[in-house]
Formats: sequence, structure tokens, C-alpha cells
Amino acid sequence: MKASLKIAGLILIVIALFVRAKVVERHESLNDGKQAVIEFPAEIKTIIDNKCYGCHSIKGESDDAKAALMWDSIPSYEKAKQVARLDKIIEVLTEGTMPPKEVIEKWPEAKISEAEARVLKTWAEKTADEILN
Amino acid sequence: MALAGILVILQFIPSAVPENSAVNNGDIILNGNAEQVADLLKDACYDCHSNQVDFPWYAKVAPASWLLARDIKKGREHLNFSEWEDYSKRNKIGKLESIQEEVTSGAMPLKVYTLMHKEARLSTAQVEVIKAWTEELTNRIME
Repeated sequence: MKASLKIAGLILIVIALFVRAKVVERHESLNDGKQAVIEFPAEIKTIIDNKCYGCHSIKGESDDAKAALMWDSIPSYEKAKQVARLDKIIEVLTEGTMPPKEVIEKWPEAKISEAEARVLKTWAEKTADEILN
Repeated sequence: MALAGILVILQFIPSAVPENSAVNNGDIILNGNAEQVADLLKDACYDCHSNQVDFPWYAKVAPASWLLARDIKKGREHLNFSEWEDYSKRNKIGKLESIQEEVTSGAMPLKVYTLMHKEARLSTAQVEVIKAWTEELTNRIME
């Protein structure tokens, strides 16, 4: 009885080590240089949550909006696609086309202030530059 | 008769069709960045997305001239192959992704344009060539 318990324990330990090795391996493969680690400081997260996330996340109802940008997917994209997404984000913030007029008419609180747009844009520019350099 | 009269009057409303420029040092083809798609880009894109527009005869006839002026102006704002080298790395990568999306979805070239320009219609194979080029150039910029 004792011996079989010991063997079972050993087998469990071996399995645990094996699983851990696999997890580490998978984690490393996600950071093999194809993706850049993208940091979302609290201030940026708040702006995204309040002004973008309603449409550009799984919560969104518009397929067009989701096809154009899913904030949560950015970290998993390859570097070039991360840069391309950030470039588009900077473009709409510069032109003032997001959130769209129709959305603001319905939900005035969705309007992004000039200060918020500037902060988000600066973050996106800095993040893109870091990926490129 | 009345219609002819209106058409004559329309010709006096200025349309401000954008001008071409003779020298384009930043041109993507001239700088060797689009060799495999040079003819495709010239045939399908350059009439709105460059400073080297091949103006058709109706470019000076209103109301066609107005539409043409608007499309060229907007086209150049979004993407100008004649000024490609002036874009930042980030802009280039963003624009290459847009090019791929636009031609793959069939949104570009505009239907109103391909209606008058048969040579601008892209076959599935040509779309694939453009797609491969955008990926190759993106990778080169990322290196």
C-alpha cells in the first residue's frame, strides 16, 4: 500500500514537471520575437475601456468594428500587424473620426476628449516606435 | 436643348483637378520597392494614388471633372505612391496593410473607375501578386 502510494506520488510529480515544462515552452514560443510585448498603462486602459471597448471587443455588436480592430488581439499579433493596427489608431485619432458620430449621438459619454485622444495617440506612437526600433 | 445649355454652363464652374508633377523622387517604383507590381500599380492605382495621373479626355468636362477631382484628391490623401519614400516606417506598414485589405476585399480599384478603365480590373491572380508584394515589402521594412 505504502509503496504504491509512493509510486503514484512520483508519477504525479513527473507529470506536474512535464506539464510545467510544456507551459513554459508555450509561453516562450509566444515571445520568440514575432510579437512585441505591449504595455497598457492604467490611464490608457481606462480610456480604451470607456471610449473604444464597447465596439472594439467581444462585447461589440458591429462586425465591421470588430473586423477593423479588436484591442484584446493586439498583443497576439505579429509585430508588423501590431504596428499597422497602431498606425490606424493614430490615424483615426488624428482625424477625429472615432468614436463615430452616430455612436456619440446615441451615447454622448462615448465622445473622446481632446486630452484623452492626445494621451492615447502619444501612447500608440511610442509603442509603435518601440516595436520598430 | 435645355440639357445642352446646362452642360455648357457647368463648364464655367471651376473643378480644380489636382495637378501632376514631373519629378517624383519619392516614387515607390523609381526607388525599386515595387518591381514585381510596377505595371499593376500603374494600371490599377496610379490614376488616383500618384502625382502621375493619366488624365482621360473627360477630365476637363463637368460634371465628370468634379468626380475625378474629388477621387484624385481623396486618393492622394490616403496613399500617394509618388511620395512613398516620405512616409515613416510606421505609415508604410499601415498603408501596406490597407492596400492588401482594399484589393483583397475588392473595394479597390473603385467600381466607377474600372467601369471606364478595363486595364485596371484586377484578376484573382493579380490580387495574389499584390498581396505577396505587400507582405514581402512589410517584412523588408520590419527588418
